[in-house]
Amino acid sequence: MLEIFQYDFMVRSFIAGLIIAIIAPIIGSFLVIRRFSLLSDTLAHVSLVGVAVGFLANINPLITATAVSILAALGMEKLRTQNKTLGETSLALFLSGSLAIATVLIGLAKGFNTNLLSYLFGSIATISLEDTVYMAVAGAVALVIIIIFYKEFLLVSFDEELATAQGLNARLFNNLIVIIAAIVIAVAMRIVGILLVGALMVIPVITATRLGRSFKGTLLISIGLSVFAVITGLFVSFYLDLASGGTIVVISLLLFMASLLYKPRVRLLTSNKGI
Amino acid sequence: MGSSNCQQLGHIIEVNDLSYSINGNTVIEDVSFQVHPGEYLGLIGPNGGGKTTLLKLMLGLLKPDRGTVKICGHNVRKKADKSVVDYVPQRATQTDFNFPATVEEIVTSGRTPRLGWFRRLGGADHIAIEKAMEIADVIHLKKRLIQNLSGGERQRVFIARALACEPKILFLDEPTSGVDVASQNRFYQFLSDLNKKLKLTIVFVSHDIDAVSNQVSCVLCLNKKLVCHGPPRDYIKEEFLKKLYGTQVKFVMHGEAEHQHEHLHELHHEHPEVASTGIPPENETGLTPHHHA
Repeated sequence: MLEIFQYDFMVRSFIAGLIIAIIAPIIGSFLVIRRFSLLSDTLAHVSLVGVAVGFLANINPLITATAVSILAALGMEKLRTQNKTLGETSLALFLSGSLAIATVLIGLAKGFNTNLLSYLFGSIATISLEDTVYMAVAGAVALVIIIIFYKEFLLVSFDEELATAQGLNARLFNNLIVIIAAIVIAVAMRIVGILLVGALMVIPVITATRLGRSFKGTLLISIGLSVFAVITGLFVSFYLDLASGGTIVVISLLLFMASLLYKPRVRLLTSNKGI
Repeated sequence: MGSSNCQQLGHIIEVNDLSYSINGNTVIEDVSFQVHPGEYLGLIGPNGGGKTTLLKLMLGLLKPDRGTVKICGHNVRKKADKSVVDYVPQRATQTDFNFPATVEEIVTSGRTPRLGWFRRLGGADHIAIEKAMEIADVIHLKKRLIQNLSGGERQRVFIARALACEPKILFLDEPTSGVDVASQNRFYQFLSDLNKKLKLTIVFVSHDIDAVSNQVSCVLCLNKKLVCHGPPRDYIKEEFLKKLYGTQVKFVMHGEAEHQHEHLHELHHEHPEVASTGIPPENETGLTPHHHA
């Protein structure tokens, strides 16, 4: 057996990492389609408020982070639907606003220490068994919801108005998408850290859009890329003694750069044709 | 079934005293009319006249200040059977069509509302999806990515997506914006065929009076209030159009020999909707050709 798997925390982080690697790009795809990819970064910052609340109340910060992110996600979704133009500005509001609240709360909790850094940048060495169980359960719930409502999520993301006109409860499915995004972020932050969670949801998807020949194909490619990045990232960070989150995201970025070498589809020739 | 209900009623859509305002500005005022099954209705009027708003009210996407819209006798804001209606939006601006998705996947997504939760696609669904692609003539594009299609092809894909739901009423909002003239005429012909062959009730918003007068069975002119409603030959006349568009718009009559009746073109027409979708204004010149004698 490899030396790496003799450490419990490494086994735990591989389990948690795989769960995230599968869910993050799926939810990321739905966000990218609707040009709302910055939601992931915003929610990640919001989840820091949850971590701070956990520090203050002495509850596992993963649980409070999930709760606060879900509430904020629903709030942002409400703002987005009430006024379309507010979509992006609400992200800016929540992103910086939550960081301000978080710094105040963390100050009150006297939490500016290495423990905080482990949430900001991810620290697999400090993942407890409780954390792993929580990540596995939350991740499984998110995955089951995605599988059940895949076709609804697809329709709502492609054309929200059409979905509503056809009688689909678009609000419900939009809310579900952002709730799952919030869960994924809370689950992923122990591995990649709050500041890098967004990258895990978006970079493999962007790379996959360059290679995919269908929606489903793109989704599968993005999952493949993300699983590859997380597993190699964990190995590399373990043997070279690097921060796991940064390593995983750098590998994702390298994969994206490699995809630039792939010759993109010729668009001009086909798009100028008439009916 | 909602459909049998529609037959008995004699009209498929019923709009009663509809009013709608945005931030205190009245957009739609006391509009009432009925649409009969199999009708091909063209909705025309100046920009800001409330065409798109009326369409969205008819679809139940907006909540009216007063009045009701009933489809097959049921209020659209309440318990109307939405599977009878389908919608081809102006331009799916919020969606990133650079995201890879095949024509087949897009059309299949249109079937989703028919399925209900927890149900996967069955044999009947695949048949309906194939048929929708055949009717809209996009079956040969099935495996192509939507981002690689021309404007006209995309528009037909969106029609196929709508047809996949096997609707009774098809709503279209400026379906030809950004499509060249030759394609536009073919597109209107195609809609007309849908209307005749499938007995599909069609309601479409257009700025193209010429197309409306040639194709539709009924025209509805809207400028906040209902200005006219009836067969196009009664209303596509200068006096009505002046009333509808005011003096801002000049009309050119084309008494060309090969045409039986007069053609009207709008000379000057702004398209804020088109501009906001990022389509270069060159397309606009293509929309309204003028042949000066």
